[in-house]
Amino acid sequence: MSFGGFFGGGSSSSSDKNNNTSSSSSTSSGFSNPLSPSSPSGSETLQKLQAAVAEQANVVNARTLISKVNEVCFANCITNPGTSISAGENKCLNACMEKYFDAWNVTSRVFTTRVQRESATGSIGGVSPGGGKELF
Amino acid sequence: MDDLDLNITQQDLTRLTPGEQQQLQNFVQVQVQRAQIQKNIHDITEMCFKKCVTGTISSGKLAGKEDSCMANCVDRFLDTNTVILKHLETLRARQ
Repeated sequence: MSFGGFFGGGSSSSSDKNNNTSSSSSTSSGFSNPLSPSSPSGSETLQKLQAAVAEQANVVNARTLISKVNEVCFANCITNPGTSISAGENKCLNACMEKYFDAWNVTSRVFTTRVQRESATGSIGGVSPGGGKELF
Repeated sequence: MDDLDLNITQQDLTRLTPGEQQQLQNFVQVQVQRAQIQKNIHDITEMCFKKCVTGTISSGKLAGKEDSCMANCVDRFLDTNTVILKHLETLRARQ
């Protein structure tokens, strides 16, 4: 099972040229130059902002996934709620979660392929890279 | 959402060069697009999982049938969008 797609890796469908700062860059943490107490340069601020935005996007993505897993797997596995979660239900929940991740990866792959193909041929619903067009 | 302490002042922002401002704008645009795509993937996954995974779950992997059902489901959902839009066009033309 690969977690890469969920937290950060994401769909590589659009131009990711600006994403190189999303990995934690130690230079942007504010302690880069203890000798100069001066304010950060524009590029430092830019890096900080980009890292923060990317981080928040990943957090939102992870939370959305977990909340969907919760909902779907609860519906699937806890069909008759008892006084506690049974061993069988526990097993079901664990399997369901992994299966859901699996399913997410399939969707991501098929969806991304499709979006890329359609934006290349310019058919309905395509996303032009860089243009913030909505899909639906 | 967590409050994160960015520690960026208004002055820091004014120090961004026009080029950096453009860079930031592009970055945010890409992030917004990415978030939109991820939201679509979340919604479609939920919808198709409910359609394709029925019965008791015992394995952590998608069964062969479930796997192909998921892939077909995603593709057909996107086809549905196209069909609906096309029909909308003909309805509009008929008026």
